[in-house]
Amino acid sequence: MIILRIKYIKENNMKFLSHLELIKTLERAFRRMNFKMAFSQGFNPKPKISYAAPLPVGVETECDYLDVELLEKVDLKDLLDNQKDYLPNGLEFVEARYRDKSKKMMALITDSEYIVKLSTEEVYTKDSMQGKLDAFVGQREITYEKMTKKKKLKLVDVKPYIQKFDIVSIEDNQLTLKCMVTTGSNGNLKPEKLAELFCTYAEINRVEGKDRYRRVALYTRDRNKQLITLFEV
Amino acid sequence: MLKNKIDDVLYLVEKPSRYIGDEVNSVKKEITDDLMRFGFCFPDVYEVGMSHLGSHILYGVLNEIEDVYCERVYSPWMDLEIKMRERNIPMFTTETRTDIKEMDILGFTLQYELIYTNILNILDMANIPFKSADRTEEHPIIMAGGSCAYNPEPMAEIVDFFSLGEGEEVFVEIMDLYREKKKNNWTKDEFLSRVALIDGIYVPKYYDVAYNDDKTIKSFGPIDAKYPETIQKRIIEDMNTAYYPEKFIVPYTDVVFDRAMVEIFRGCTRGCRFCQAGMIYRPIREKSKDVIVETANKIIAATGYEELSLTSLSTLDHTDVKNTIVDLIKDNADEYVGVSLPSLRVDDIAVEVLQEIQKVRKTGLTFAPEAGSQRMRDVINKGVTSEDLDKTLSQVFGLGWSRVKLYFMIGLPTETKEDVGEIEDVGNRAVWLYKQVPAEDRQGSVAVTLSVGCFVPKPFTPFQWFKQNTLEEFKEKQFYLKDKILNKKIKFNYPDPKTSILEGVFARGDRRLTDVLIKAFELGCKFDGWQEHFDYDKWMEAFDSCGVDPQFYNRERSFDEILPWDFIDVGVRKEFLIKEYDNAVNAVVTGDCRDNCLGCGVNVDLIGREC
Repeated sequence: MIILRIKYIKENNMKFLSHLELIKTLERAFRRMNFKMAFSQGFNPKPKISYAAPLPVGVETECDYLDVELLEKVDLKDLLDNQKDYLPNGLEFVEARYRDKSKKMMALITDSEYIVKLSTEEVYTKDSMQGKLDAFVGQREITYEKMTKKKKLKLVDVKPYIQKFDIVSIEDNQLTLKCMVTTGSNGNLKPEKLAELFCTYAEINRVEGKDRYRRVALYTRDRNKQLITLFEV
Repeated sequence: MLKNKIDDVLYLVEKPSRYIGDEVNSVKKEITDDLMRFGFCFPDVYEVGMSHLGSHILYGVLNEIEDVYCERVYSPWMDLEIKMRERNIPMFTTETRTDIKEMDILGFTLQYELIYTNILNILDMANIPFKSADRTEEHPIIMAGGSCAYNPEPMAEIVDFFSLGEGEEVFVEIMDLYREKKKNNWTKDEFLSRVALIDGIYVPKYYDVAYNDDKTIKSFGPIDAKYPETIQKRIIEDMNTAYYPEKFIVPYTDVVFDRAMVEIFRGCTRGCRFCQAGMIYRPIREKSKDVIVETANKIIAATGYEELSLTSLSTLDHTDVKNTIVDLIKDNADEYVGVSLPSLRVDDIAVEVLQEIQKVRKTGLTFAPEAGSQRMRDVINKGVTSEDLDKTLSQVFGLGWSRVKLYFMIGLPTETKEDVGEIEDVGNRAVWLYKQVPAEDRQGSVAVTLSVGCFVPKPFTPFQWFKQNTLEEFKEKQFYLKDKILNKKIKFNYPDPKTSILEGVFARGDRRLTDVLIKAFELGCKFDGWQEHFDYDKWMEAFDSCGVDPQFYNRERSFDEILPWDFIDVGVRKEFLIKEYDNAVNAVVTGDCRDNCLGCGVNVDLIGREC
């Protein structure tokens, strides 16, 4: 079994693709590249490709991963050198490596890092914003009511899920933050939710429809709970 | 600036990927002053427009010309439209997000009558006046083509010129002339008076119409003898050498037909009397197997599509279709590229072909018996018998299919209640046939869908003189069928007949409908082809306030009446249509004209050869 793990960027226009659209787009790209993909059985055979962490529409990433199962190896240098001929603008392969069969990536992911850009209605100084941020993360717990699958409201504390939360820059009303949050089956905090909780707490009014998110790193953890990339697994 | 404004808005709308352009194989060109810019407008949403083969072909034809840049324009869905109007974002092209007002020519493809209001909406969002007479030299030239252009009259005051027939060659001629316009600084009139002399081009403002007291047409003709009295459609004589794109644009979002499309022939010899396509796309012109297979393989390589569709009317009529499909499957099965066909006629070859196709992927099956009773199928010259139907259904069920869709029409000429009722019999028969398949060969439970449309008489068919059923007649027939269908395995689909009535008005309409159309748009009508947005009452209000009676257009017409589209020559002679009308009334089957030439005249008149 040949498994090729690819780290890719999805940005600019490609941020508007839903996860399902991305799947279809990459399947077709692989066909154009003449990949000999392995297919599932059944009436409607599908190529065997799995993704680490689906993104919502509108979010960019520079660090996502996919595994594609192949019947024949392809030359990885050729793949990276010639990718522009096959991929739409805004999709780019950064790194590709063959690997042994591993656990599904989706189950491995533990942490992810985002750049969050918000447009605030008022203009803040960096100091006052830092004060707000410190107060926010300094709370004993950070809770909200979450709708469970059984349609019941449940109070969750997301404080343990915030690994890092910093200001990158403030320019006029453009606030840029960086956060690292717990992702995956052992707890999950979305950056959109974090931004919402922070702004509500700090009484920051955002210009509607102007939040921008970009995933910049995706991690799993080794036996010693240290962060490692999906190529280091 | 506009680009960023649009980007911001796309965060706020449903399925933004349909607006981003930048798809694989979409064309990018450097924008220079010499460039002639063409906005190819499909006045419906992207998902529908991208499924239309003709648009892909003409996009390719135009962009092959070095100094022409053809960009696509689709109707934004309601949510985007609201945001665009709020933020003063004009209608923009998909490729470069340019205001469409900056195009030299805007070309609208008219694929169905119920999108005419969307054309007005696109013009409105670009701040372009609706009527030709109200536009200035600053505005783009508006042209139109497509199957509805065969009766251009309802759009005559809006469109500057129409292109009739197949566009591969005439588009090059139009752009050659436009290049001269640019070079010589011609006015629009100087251009239009010349484009009117190109074969297949109709410039409505050079034609005048007078009416009788009973509102029928008294006379129609050019205002100057230099313009042709009749306008003959254009055709491509040899499909094997005709332009055909290989680099099809690959959409991101799910479009209606999300697959590689290979056209295998044009025209149809079946002669179904209700079918406009079967008349206007004559004569039959096939591509050879080798050309089809080579084109298909190139398209798959350039697009990465997982499904390939062979397209044409009555696809299995291609003389070498079986070998073609066998070859295509052989070439592509390893990569799991499936082959699909549009709706199938009910005959032997269908089953043989299906056996091949299902080796890769099993697709849904649609058959089109068109009418329930044998008498009605004879009236429409369908040439399918009950035995054919039985045999085909038994065979496909035997091959493991359990779901079939059967397509019918009601409101056909001479139709009786018994004829309508027999549609249900066909459904029951299908369910019964399924139960005759040995249990071990069956796949689950049977599901038969009876999809029953309302017949709309169309220009250039033998039924162009017939009175369309009224709303009440359609409803009565639908309710009758609905009550009659008791079998739980049968699903009954039927449209709101109001849309068919309006379609009928515009299909056989004339110039007096332009004002109705504009009024309806002003009252808020758009996306009329989308049942949930169609507002019949507003339309009736528009007819009322313009003093136009819609019934006038759906009435029966006499053979000697001047029809609004009589000045157009599609190659099929009027005597032939009248002869076929008489055969229909007498339920006489004339059959496939491959075996028995009926003298429609298309080959003799258009190409100058025998059939």
